Amino acid sequence: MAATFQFSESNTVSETITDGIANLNFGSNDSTGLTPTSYPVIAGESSFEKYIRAKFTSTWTEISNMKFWKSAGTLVTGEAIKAAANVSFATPSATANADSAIPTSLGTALSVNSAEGDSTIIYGASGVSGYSAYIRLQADTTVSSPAGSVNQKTFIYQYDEV
Amino acid sequence: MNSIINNIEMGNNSMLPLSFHWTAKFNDGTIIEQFGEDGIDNNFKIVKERFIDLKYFQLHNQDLSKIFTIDLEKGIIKFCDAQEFEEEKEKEIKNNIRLIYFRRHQRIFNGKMEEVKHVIIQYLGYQYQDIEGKNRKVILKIDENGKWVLGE
Repeated sequence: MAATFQFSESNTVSETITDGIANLNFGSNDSTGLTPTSYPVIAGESSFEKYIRAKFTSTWTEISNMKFWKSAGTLVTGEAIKAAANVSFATPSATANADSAIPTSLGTALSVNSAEGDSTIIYGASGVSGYSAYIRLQADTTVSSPAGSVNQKTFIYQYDEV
Repeated sequence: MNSIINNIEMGNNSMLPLSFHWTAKFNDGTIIEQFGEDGIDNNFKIVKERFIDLKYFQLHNQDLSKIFTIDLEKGIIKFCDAQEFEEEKEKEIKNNIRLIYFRRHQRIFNGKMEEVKHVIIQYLGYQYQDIEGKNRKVILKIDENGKWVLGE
């Protein structure tokens, strides 16, 4: 059997967890699956942070070497996407954080631990949840950012499974 | 005032059926298949717990008629029982031969974060200690279509 993969998003001060999210739209609201046209990011401001985790279900033996990066997609003027891995959950904020730009190659990709802080997720081990650690994402803009949709991007989540 | 729309959607990240299945053969003659005839899905953990007794480990795809076999006694890789990737031309002494096997998943999301592609590469091979005590690895990278690359 192989592990089943889905992204989970956490929102709100009390950490509302949504597994199997429909999208990861950035916006001016702390919610999952938001409609960007309803909650656009005003030029010069930042989106609410997104806290996501990989969630593995079904069965496997070990999952390791988890990596996350943006592999393609040109940013428009003033647009920035920042990311940090293995952070603690905090109430998502629309204030620009100090995270670095999301890596754009496998060589510089974020290394993601398990939720328990290990490099490996061992199936069935005591206390293992099947979640990865949090990845925090945020989109920044400037007043120079053009209105409308931004360019298409490609993101990759890589992991080894046995 | 300008507004920026970041529209990122996730897809249904369903599990991709594995095209290659494994079979493990142990020194005592026991054979464990990933999917047994009784329908039981055997976890690789069973193999891992008996690594020291593992004689052969095989990946096979019946549709493609491809079989990759790791001979853990000799430290060689065989393809479809017909040829060996590595000739024993120098009869290199290989000590402490251990299996390497894992699947590398790349889940690729578009700008809307819909999963547009799920690539699985099987990493199959072995590591050993050479006569000088150095650890060496021989690994096949096999894609879902059975195309492979051999590396060390």
